[in-house]
Amino acid sequence: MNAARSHLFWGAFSPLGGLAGGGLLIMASARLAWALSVSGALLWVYFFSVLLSFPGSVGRGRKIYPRQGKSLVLIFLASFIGSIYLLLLWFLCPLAALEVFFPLCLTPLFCTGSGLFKRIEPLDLGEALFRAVSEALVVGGLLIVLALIREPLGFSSLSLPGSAQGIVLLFSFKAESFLPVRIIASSAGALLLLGYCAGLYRYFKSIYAPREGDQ
Amino acid sequence: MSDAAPAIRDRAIFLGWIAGLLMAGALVWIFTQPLQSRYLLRAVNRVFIAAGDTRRLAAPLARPAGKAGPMGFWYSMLDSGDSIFVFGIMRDGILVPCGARVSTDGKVEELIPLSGHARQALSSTPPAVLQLYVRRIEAAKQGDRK
Repeated sequence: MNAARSHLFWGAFSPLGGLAGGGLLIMASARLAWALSVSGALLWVYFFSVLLSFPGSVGRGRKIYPRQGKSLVLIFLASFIGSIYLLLLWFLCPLAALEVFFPLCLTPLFCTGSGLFKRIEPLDLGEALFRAVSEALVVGGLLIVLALIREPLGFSSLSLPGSAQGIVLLFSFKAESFLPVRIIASSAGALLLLGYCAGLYRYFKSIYAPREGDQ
Repeated sequence: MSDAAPAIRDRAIFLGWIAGLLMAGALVWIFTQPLQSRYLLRAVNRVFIAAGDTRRLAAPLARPAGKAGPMGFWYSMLDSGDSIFVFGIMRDGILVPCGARVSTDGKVEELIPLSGHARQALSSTPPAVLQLYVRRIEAAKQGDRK
């Protein structure tokens, strides 16, 4: 699908197409433990979705996908791969898997909604996998940075995934109950933080990134 | 007819993919349900041990028949007629893992936070939200007893 001809409301490149990404960033960045679990899921889903879908994207292999509805098939394929990650996480640490169940369900939608499969079409398999892993690392890195800000301010603690209780608290303070900065742990606080991050990103992009069409 | 054949073939490929992936996913999840339940039981018992709690889960129970309750797993308790329902309370898109101890007469006696996050989050959850979950669990349990 051409991004410019994408449907205004239903299309993968419509403004609403990125909503899954917003939800994922807000939910998974509340704690470092969740951000790490979801970053692992992003890496898993991006890598294996590209690996399994690639043979059907080139040459004679194109015939294994339908001409109409290929995007939906890729969503189902990515969701299946995501559910395998969830299952493995459940066997490792059931309570951690239960906590991040909903953000993990969003990772396949985020992967397909980002337009990754269109971008890798002209690449060979090695380049496509490198591109997929790089994109997953960028999103995962953003999640971890947001979590490193939100969790200490919101919960006065810092956590890692694991242990019987789902998360291991590296430190935790209890005398913080009435600090107004705790709002940063809520969804409203995450939106505020995302707004600041988007502002910073645009500022630095205007300074350092080359303008499109300059080269 | 010759124009319709590629379209039908295309539709068949599409349906084959969707049905195949749905079936594969469903089979994996259904056949691993006993294993998932067993792993969760061990995790909850480890939480009790870490907290110095003497209670233990004994074995998984079948979901109560009749009225649909919240998603979760039912367990019997060791040395007690009560049962424990392990489920998640939705808070800001995160399922907060909790256990509800349900007495033999179908009443929820206690909500037990099961993770480090649940301990922090449960105290800030509005009582009305907790009551909503309690009512649904009790309704599911009492539907089973009828």
